[in-house]
Parts: sequence; structure tokens; C-alpha cells
Amino acid sequence: MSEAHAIQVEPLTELMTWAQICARYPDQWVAVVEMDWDDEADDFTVARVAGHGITRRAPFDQMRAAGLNYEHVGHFFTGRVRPHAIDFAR
Amino acid sequence: MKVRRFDPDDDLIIIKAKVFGKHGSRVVSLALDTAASHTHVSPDIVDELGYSPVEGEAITSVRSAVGKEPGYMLRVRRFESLGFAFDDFPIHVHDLPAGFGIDGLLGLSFLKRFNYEIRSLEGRILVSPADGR
Repeated sequence: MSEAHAIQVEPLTELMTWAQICARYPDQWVAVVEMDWDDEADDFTVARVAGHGITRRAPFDQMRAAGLNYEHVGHFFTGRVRPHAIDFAR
Repeated sequence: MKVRRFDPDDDLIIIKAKVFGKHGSRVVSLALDTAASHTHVSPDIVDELGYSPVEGEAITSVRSAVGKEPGYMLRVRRFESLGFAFDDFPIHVHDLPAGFGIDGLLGLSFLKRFNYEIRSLEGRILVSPADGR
């Protein structure tokens, strides 16, 4: 099976809060689009999930497979950040 | 002065940043790291923005838990974080394991342009530019 066939294409979701995204896609990387940005909070209030997966690149691959082409995309991890491994760049 | 919030319950100070390239912009989460001399971004993000390693200005390497990680220095069209933006901003592009949960580090190459106060209990960062406004 080619890599293109292995990527599951999913439709763009409804507008969701970050809490809703974390609940639906736990411990995954997500690509979010149509972000309603709150400048004060420096974060989005709601957005649509355009791709998700367990690798950093998976959400972007899913977007491409679905033919979604957005200029502004957020890329975030829904799980807890693990600090023990951040042991470089000194 | 700009004020930005972070989750004081997190194990790291996670900050949003926006990186610009030929293909638009990507909003990412970076760990604020005053012990990192440079600002680091994952190659997955810079590749998505249309950059290529051939645009790199220098080959670099960083020490990691698994050894020396090769990478490169790249100037991105624009970089925004903590309410401030810089054009032609230099970043270091190095791979990070997916399990880190971040797309890089916000290091001193960005932070040293400001005075800042990290109020950990409150989950707030107060940032003043060089001219104090």
C-alpha cells in the first residue's frame, strides 16, 4: 500500500474549543484552521481541526491528502508536554 | 508593556509563536527557555512553510539526550511571539522527537531583545521592549 493510500482523509470539523479538541483527539498532534484569535489571550477561542495524528507531520499529511490548503494553520499537541527530554540546545 | 499568560500548572512555560514563510504562517507552541542561546523550530514546521535546507545560512548542531543533532540556521520571513514581531529572524532548525509536545524552544536570540518578568505563580509574563514602552 502506498503512503498516500495509508493516510485517512477526514472532513474538516465543526468549530471547537481547545478543551473540546483535546477531548476528541487525546495525546495527538493537530492542525487547526479558521482560528478565531484572541489577541489578549494570545490564543484561539475556537478553530476547526483539519488534521490529526501521533506524529508531528501527520496532521499536515492529512490536510494535503484531503486537499485542504490554508495559509494560516495552528499546530499543537493535545497532551501534556514532557519536560524531561528537553535537554539540548545549550 | 505586553502581558502574556501561560498555564502555571504546566511543567514548562509554553508560549505561542507564529512563523511566516512562502506558504503562509504556522502558529506553534514553544517552550520558553532562558538557557537556550537560540530559538529552535522543528523542521516539520519550516518544511510546511516552504523553506528548504538549501536556504540555510549555516550548518549547526545541538547536543541532545541521544547525541549530537545536526541541523541548520535559517532566516524566516517573520517571527512573532509575546506580542512582538521581527522580520528576517534567525532560527535554528533541528529535529525534535514527537513526544516532546512542542515545536521548539523560544531562546535568548528572541528574549534578549526585551526586558521580561516571569511571574510563575500567576502564570504571567510581562514584556517590555528596548525603548520601555
